[in-house]
Amino acid sequence: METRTAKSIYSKFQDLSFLDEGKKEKAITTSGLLTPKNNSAKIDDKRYEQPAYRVAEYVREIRNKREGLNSG
Amino acid sequence: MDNFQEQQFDAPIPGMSMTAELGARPWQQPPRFSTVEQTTSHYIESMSSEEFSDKLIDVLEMGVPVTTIADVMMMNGTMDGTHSADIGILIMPILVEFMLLIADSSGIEYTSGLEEEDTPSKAAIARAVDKFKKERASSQEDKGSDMQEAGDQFEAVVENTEQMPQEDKPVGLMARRA
Repeated sequence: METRTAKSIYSKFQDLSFLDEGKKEKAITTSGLLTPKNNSAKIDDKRYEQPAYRVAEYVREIRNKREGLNSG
Repeated sequence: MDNFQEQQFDAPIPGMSMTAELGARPWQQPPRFSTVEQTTSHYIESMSSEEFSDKLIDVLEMGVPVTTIADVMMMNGTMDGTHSADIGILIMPILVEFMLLIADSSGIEYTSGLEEEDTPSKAAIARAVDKFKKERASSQEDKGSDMQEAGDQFEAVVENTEQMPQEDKPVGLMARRA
C-alpha cells in the first residue's frame, strides 16, 4: 500500500494557474447602505462546489504569503 | 505492478479487522470534521501554535522531510477519527504548504521532500531487468548451437582420455611416489 501520498498530491497543486481561468471580474461598489457584504461571485461559481478547488485557493493564499516572505 | 513483488511485512494480518467490535475503532465512527473547511481550520489552528512550530522546526532540523510529516499527520488524524481518509488526502497540500511557510519563516535549512530523486524508480528498474533477461535469453538461444558443438567436442576428448592406456603404477611400500 502506498502511504507516501503527500509528494504526489502536492505536485498536482504546483501549478495553480487554473484558478484564474474563466474568472469573471465583477465591478463591486464599496459604498452604499444596500451594498451586498458577501461576495456573490464565489457563490455563483460552480467550481467552488469542488473541494479540490477550494483547497487550491487555500494553497495559493498560503503560497503567496510564503513567496512574499522569501522575496521580502 | 512491482509493488506486488515486494514483501509486505507491515501488511495487516488476515482477520485483523475483526479483532474488535464493529464501530469500536475511531475511524469506524463518523469523523469529527466532515468538510475541507472545518478540517483545514482545525489544522491551521493547531499548527499556528508556538509549541507546534518549535517541535516542527526541531524535527525538520533533524532532516525529516515536510511531506513525511504531512503524511504522518494525515494518517494520525484519520486514525483518531478527526477526519475521513479522503478529506485528509484532500487537505494534504495545505498542510505541506503551511509547514513550508513555518520552515521558511524560521529560516532553517530543511528538506521539503519534493525534490526529484536521482535514483531511478522501482518500475524503471523492473523494466530494465526484464529487458536484460529477454536479451540474455535470446543471446543464449543463438549461442545454443555453438554450445552444442563445444559439448560434443568435450565429450569426445573425455572418451579419448578414458581409452588411453594407463601405465602400471608400482605398488608397494618402497615404491616411488610422484
